[in-house]
Amino acid sequence: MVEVQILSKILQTKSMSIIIDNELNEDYFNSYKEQFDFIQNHFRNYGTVPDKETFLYEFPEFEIIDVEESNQFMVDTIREEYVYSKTVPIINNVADKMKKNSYDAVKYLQGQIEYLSELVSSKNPPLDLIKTAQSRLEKWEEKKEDSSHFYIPTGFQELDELLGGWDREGELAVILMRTSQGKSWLLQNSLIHAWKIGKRVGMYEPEMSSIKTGYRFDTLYGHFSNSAINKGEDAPGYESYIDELKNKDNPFYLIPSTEHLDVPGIKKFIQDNKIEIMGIDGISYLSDYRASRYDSLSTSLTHIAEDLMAISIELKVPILTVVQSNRGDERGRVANKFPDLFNVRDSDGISYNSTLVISGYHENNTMHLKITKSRGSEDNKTIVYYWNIDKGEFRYVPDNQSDEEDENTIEDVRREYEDEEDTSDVF
Amino acid sequence: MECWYKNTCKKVHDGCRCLRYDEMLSLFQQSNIPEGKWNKIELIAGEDHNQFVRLAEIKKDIKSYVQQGNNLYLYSNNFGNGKTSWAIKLMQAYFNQIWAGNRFCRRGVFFSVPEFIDREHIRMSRDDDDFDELRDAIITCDLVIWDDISSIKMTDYSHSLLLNFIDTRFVNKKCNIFTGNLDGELLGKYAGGRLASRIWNGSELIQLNGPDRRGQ
Repeated sequence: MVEVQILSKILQTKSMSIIIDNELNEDYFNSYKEQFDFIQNHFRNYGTVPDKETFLYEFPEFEIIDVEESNQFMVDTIREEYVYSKTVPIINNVADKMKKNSYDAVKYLQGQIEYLSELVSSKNPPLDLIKTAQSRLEKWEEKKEDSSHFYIPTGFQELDELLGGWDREGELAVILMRTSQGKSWLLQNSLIHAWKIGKRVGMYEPEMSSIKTGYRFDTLYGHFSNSAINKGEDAPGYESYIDELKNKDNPFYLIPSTEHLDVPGIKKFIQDNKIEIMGIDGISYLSDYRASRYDSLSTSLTHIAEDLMAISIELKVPILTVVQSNRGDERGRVANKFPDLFNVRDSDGISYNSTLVISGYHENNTMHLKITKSRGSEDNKTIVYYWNIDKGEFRYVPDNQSDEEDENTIEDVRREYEDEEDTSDVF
Repeated sequence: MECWYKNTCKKVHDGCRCLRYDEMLSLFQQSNIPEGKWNKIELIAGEDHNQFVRLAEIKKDIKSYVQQGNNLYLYSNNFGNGKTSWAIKLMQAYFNQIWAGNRFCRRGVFFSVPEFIDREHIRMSRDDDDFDELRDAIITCDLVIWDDISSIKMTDYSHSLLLNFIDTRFVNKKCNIFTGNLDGELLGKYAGGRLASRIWNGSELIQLNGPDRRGQ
């Protein structure tokens, strides 16, 4: 009965969350294995649960029932049934052996004890931080030796110095800014850097046409005037640049703006294309496959952020996304120009579930960035880049008022502009 | 776009858009120096040669001068002989020395004292966000020019307000450049004893004696 309830619930809500969240698989569906496989394959292939009509066309005998029961009850019940189904053959075997030789029966039972214990033990056994200390040491040594296995550089040296890069063990990084401040540029610049160093990159760009995204790529990578290539004006060297670019093997995959995706869709895209770093230009464009009709936007965005974080950990792919901040920070003074975590538009579940939040604003041709939230690095550090939007160039601006004044970098900047001490004695 | 800064910056530009230009533009825009006085001007020393040499020395090392919290009172019995121009020159020189790594912060503010007092009075009855920001900067920014400090007789309120700002800057060792037409005794009479004492006794004094050269 519970199998029918769960399958009906999936079809009614068009959500696989009860399966994914509780790590259920076909082994739990003894009586309806075929039906379960059909739903799961459809979900894997198309990113959505099949609708009732499709399902009933395949299984006309199946009766979809109304389910009011709680998920927890159904999960507990199906797990108990699963344990029962796995235990019965063992107990039967023990009984059979017992008829012939009780020593053999006990010996057989002893051999099955560990398996039976695992069946009834908690789904996720706790991790002992004390016993696992050695593995932490080994990981630290490995990182010290070569951190490139653990991080993908951000494309901004100063950010890397603070963060190490995007964490490949699980990173949901949020770029938080007001509208039209350069979030997408920043995202794409970082993805391009990953692509340049040989990573397979995926980008979901729901806000722009693929041609415009492509021109941005050319501006950020080749530093061609964005306005010139968009408007078809003179862009010296553009033809030869394209000739060279199209011979490169490493892909930079773009999911076009016409596709509407949810997190399982993103997961499938990452798996199918062996993506190593994924960028999503607007978390709010994703659909919440777990949504029920009573869920608010805030709840849906929280689900999406939770699921993105989960697939980042599972697939070991950093996921970068941009989020718009609300208007709460527009009070004009410098101290308030950086959006804070509470300025995340529509849901604080996004920042709650992210590992990293970089907030920023654009002013005077500069991009000001601040690490507003991070796990394992210093928060609230400010980094400033002089940003030529049209040429896609970011140049670090040192800080001559901080305690750690970087005299060498400042002198480099001065030298670049041929700035010498004014020794003129003309008054 | 014509680069207003091209007479100072020696770099050959393609289109006059660069970090230095933008930093300097931001410093000037935030400084309240009237736009007509942004360009580099050359002054005639005449009988003030020694004073000009000293001012040129300060200018050459203006970054240290400001950071040490020094104060300068440039005064003269005459008008139009370069006091304000020199004050602005020094601020420009300061901007030129600190633009690299400034990150678009406000570092210096120019106030014509009569205008400052006027805006203070207007502010009491009308919001003036720009002025509020300038006013906030008096406490924090590295260098403030108080131009024409004693050209009008001040009310008790204006006097106490100005005294409060200047006193705070002295206490915090923030650099000020004052210009005016009065020496110690007259300064006390017009600006009040306490304020005059801060300026006259707390500043390097440079008196210009040249004639009015406006228009030359």
